[in-house]
This record gives sequence, structure tokens and C-alpha cells, in this order.
Amino acid sequence: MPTIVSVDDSTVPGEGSSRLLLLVSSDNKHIVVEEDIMSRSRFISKQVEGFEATSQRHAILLPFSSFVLNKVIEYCSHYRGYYLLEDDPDAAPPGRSPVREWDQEFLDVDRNMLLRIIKAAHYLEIKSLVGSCARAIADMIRGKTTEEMREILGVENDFTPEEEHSPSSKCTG
Amino acid sequence: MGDARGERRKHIRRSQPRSPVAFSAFHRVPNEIIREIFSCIPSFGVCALEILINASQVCRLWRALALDMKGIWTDITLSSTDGNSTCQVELALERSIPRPITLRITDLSSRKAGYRKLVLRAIHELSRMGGLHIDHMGNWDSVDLWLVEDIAQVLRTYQAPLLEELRLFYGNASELLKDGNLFAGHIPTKLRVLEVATHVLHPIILRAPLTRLRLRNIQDDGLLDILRALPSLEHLDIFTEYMVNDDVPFSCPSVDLPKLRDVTFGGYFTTVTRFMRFLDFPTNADIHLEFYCRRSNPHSSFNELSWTCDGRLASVIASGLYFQNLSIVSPDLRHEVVDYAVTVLNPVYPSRGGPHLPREISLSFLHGDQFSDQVGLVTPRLLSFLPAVRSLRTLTVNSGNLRFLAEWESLSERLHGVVSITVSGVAAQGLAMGLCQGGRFFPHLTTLSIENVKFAYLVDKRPLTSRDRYFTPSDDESEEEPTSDTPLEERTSLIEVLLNGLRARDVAGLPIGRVSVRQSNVTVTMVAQLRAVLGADCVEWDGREDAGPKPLAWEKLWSWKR
Repeated sequence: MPTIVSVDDSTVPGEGSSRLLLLVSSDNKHIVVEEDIMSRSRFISKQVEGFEATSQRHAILLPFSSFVLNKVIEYCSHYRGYYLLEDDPDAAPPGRSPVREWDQEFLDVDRNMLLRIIKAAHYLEIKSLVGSCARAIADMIRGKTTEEMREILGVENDFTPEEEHSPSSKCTG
Repeated sequence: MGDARGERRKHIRRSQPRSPVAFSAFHRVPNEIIREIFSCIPSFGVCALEILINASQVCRLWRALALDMKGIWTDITLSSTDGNSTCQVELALERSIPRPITLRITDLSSRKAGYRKLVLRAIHELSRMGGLHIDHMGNWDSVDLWLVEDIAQVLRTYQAPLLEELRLFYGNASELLKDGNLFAGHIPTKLRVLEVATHVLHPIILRAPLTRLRLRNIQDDGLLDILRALPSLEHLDIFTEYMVNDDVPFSCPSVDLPKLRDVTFGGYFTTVTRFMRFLDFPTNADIHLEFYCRRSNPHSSFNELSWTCDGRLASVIASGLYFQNLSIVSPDLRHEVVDYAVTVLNPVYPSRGGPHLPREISLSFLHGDQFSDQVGLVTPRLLSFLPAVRSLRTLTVNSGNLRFLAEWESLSERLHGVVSITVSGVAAQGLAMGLCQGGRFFPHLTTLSIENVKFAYLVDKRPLTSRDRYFTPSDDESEEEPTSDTPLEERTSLIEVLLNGLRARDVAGLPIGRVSVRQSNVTVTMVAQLRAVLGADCVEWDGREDAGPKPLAWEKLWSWKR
């Protein structure tokens, strides 16, 4: 659960038609963003519903850095107003489709950043972004041997020698 | 003392099992994310199994998650060229239990040792098979015929309670399913999609709640009987290279397909039109007809069959009777085809309850071919054939034969209600001359869009007739205006003709409210002249002075669809 702190009205601007949210990153950066932009995040939407119930405005503390948060906001801003099937909780799960062209460029980042983005997207419950990141990671390990996958993703081999040499492990095509 | 304690600490650290996850980049990555990554892999196709197997060997956690996700192991491809290995198939069969599997068999050959055994091993999983796709169309010369017999035998022997999709594509004429009865009466209850390409003489007749049927290379005989047994069909896609058997009597009862949403039918004109005549389906269904003839066509992948643009035109004529909008894109036109379509379709389609009248028509012909001698007077003939033209409000044309005033006059009489015209290329010439005749010419016209026109073209002051020589501009942009035998003093620029036409409309009290100029070779001065006549706000210009887009290419129009 995120930590929620009360804030003054002066901290959060915006009484107009487009409500504003205050997001606080783990490096204590305050980022004001329109609620409309972040509506793709089911996590944020649920938080906002909670605010309305208590008629109080809050800042939402998020457990990732402002750099990652800004990337997520960039994604949400780009698709603002777009209908993405993956983000529709009422829609049937979509089949796997190629990563959208813009997403490909957006996710052209190093491995660690990609992992941070997917973690943030997962935390914020933005399914479309999680899907695109997952596809990008899957592309990274495509055609790679097990050892290469470990190297790419920084995962260590914790199999015992017996497990590693089991018959099924020898089947590598 | 202190050293001893330090040594002990080091020993404990060394002896403790390392916790690799704690140091990896995937540290604290939720399992859902890893699952999401795994779930992307099956879409990689035939190499997916190898990736999954490799991924499942990365670490304990990954293996546990991969083995827990039965669904990612369910897509198996058997192929002599790039299929999954025996070991991979065995693993996938084992790890996917109890989920329904999809088995794809393509280009099999006994040259790969042990493959027959492997195929049979996989096929015998029929009891939990959700999809079975067998495709020999690509390389059927190397296909072993035992496969067809074995699979047919298995399909007849075993129940397939989970089978939802069955795709059988056999390219070899020897691979006949003799009686076409795949299931020996035991039709899978969940079967919804059936795709068959085979040369069966008496095709499969299934009384099953199929929603999608795709047939290829099937003879027309018995086609209606197949469909009669499938009242729940929503999608129908047929291509046949056989000529129709003309002994189907006209008194044959029609086939009622009340749920049909789209029909795609490709074949010879006579086959398709006869077939369509007996189908009864909702009038809002999406119809796409493709016609073929034996004329040689280098763009076709078949020797005997080829695309025919004539056919495409005829198909659109046919569908134009059903829909509000008619769009024709054709590189070639022959009036014989139009006549044929009129002869064949006219008595047929109105009997289905009367045509829906299109309100928009768009005619686009490929640059170059539009000037061929074959063109003749096709466009006016086409439009005069359509019973809908009197209701037409929007017309888009680039037809070469519409450069003649006479043709526009003919159209103007029939298209009395047109309020918007988009004219492209040399067709603008005839229209511009027609506008000079004031209100007699498209009296309700309020919007004129001009595209891909060179406004400086010198045109004859006298109206051209179809006896005037055709000219054939090349695709080269440097091509100059057409040659003409007319003396220079008897010629004027197209912009002048157009301006005169617009002024004449003004005088007649029927001004054109809006003119837009796009992708045309026009100067700022010419646009200013137009604005002086119509008013500054009434002329839109995209600011481009180039001659417009390149003409469409064959490949963009026709794409072979299996």
C-alpha cells in the first residue's frame, strides 16, 4: 500500500475542470499531473476514488524514482484519451499483438531502466505498459541460450548440478 | 582474537548458500511480471518452444513459474524444415497437460528421422486438442502421403471433445480424402472453425454449429449442401478455381444463413455469381467478391488462375447494389465486363428485395491504364447501369474517358442530385468545360475538389470528343502536356477554362460554394484567381505545387490471399 499524506490546498493546484494530482517519488520529488492523464493507472484511479470518499486531497507517495515516474507519465500522456484494449478491465484479454511503434521507441532504454519501468507499471496497474515492457524483455531473450538469458537479465543460476543436468534441461533444441 | 572472528565470519559467509535472486536485476520483480514475459513468448511462433525451454532453465523460480503456466506450452509446430525438435515436442506435450493444445503440421517429410512416430505421438493427443492445423500447401511435392491417411484414420478413430479449430490444407491432388467424412459421424461438439483446402469431389458435410468456414480449392458441386447444414455460420470465405457446374437448376431452394456477417468468395465470375444467387443472408453483411480469369498475369502465383481487374470491377458492381457506398479501384476496364455484369447481375440481385441505393461513388483507375484503348466508355456505362445513380450525392472520379465533355454531359443528366464532386487528373478537363455551361451542368453542385491536376495544361477550346486521339502520359513527372494537333491559338489553359466555368455558374445564380485544390500543380497566382472569383474563404489550397502522389502500383492493389 502506498503511503498517503495529507497536503494543503496550496500544495495541489487546480480547482478547474481538470483536476490535478500530486505524486511524490521515492527521491522525494513532487510531480503534479492531471488526473486525466493518470486515469490509465487503475492504482491511481482507486486512490482518487478514496480521496473522493473522504473529501480530502492527498499526495500519493510512490516507491520509485522521479526518473521512472516521469517515464510512466510520458507514456500515459502519449496515450491520453486513447482507448487501449489492454487497459479496459471489462474487455476480454486481448491476444498478443506486436508492440506499438511508439512503444518500441519509448522502451528503447537500457535493461535496468526497462525493468524499473515494468515494475512501476505493475505497481500502478497499467496493463498496457506492463504488456509492452514484457514484450520488449521477451524480445531481448529471443534466440538466446539459457546462459545468455542469465547474463542479459542478471539472474543467477541457483540450480544444483543435478538439477541442471536433468534430462529435461538438455533439451535445448 | 579479532582475526579468528573475522575468519569465522568469512567461513560462514562462504558456506552459506548464496541467494542469487537477492543480487540480480530481477530482484523483487513480482512473479506476475515474469509470467507476463513468458506469456509473450508463444507469439514468437515456431521458435517459441525453444525460448521457453531455455527460459525455464534460467533459475528455480523461472522454472517453477514456467511449469506452472500450462498455457504457454500448448502451441506445437511439426515441420521438416523449422519445426520443433522431438525433445521439444515431448516436453511441450508433457508440460501442457491438461490444457488443450494446438498442433501445427507443415511441410512434413520422412527425410527427418523419427518424424512419423512423433507426428502420431502428437496426433494421439487428440483428446485434448483445441486446434489442429495441417498445411501442406507450401511444399507439397515433398509431403508424404502417409500423413493424410494416418491423420484421417486418427480423426475417425478418436473423439476430439475439445477441438475448436480444424484447418486442413492439402495441396497435392493425390491427397484426396475419398469420402470427405473426417469424423465418421462423431463431430466434435466444440468445433467452430473449419478451414479446408482439398480437391475433394464431395466435400465434408458437417451438421455442426460452425461459425467460421473457409474453403479453398473446393469444387462447386455440393457447396450449397455444405452450407445448408451450417445455419450458424457468421464468416464464410471461399476460393475455388473450378468452373461452375451449370446443371444447378435455378429452382434450387436458397440457403438461409441468417447469422452471416461477411462473405468472401473468389473464383470464376460464373461460379461466384451463380453461387451467390442461392445464398440468402442479411443485407448488411459485408460482401467481398473476387473474380478470376485464365488470362495470364505475372503478378499471380498461379499459372492457370490470375487476377483480373475486370473481375474486380464486376465484383464491385455487384456489391454496389447492396451498399450505400461504392468504391472502385481498377487498373483496367473493359466495357464487356460491365455489360456482362449488367446481364448477369441485373436480373439476379433486384430479386433479393431491391437494391440499396448508394449515395456515394468513388471511381479510381490506375494512372496509365486509364488511357488504354480498352477503356472506351466504361465509366458512363457503369454509372448508367447502376440503378442508384439518381440518388447519388457524392462522386469521386479520375477516369480518363471523363476528359470528354460529352461524357460529363451524359453523367450530369443521370446524376442530377450530385452536390459534391472530387475530380482528379485529366477528368478535370471535361468537367471544367461543362461548368462553363452554367446551371445545366450539375445544378446542385456546391463543392468541387480538384486533385492531381496540372492547371497550366493547354486544352482545346473546343470540347473534345471520343474521336480525339488518346494521349498516354507516362509515370515520369517530367512528362509534358499531351501533344495536340490543334493550333496554339485554339487552345487555352485549364485554369482559364475552370475560371470561366465558375464565373458562368455565378451568372446562372448557381455558384459553387467551395473549391479545394490539393496535390496539384498550381501556382499562387492561379489560386488567387480562383479566390477572386469565389471569395477568399471559399477556396482551400494545400499549398503544394507538386503534381501529386505517384500513381498506384499493381502490388498495392492486388495481394494474393490464400
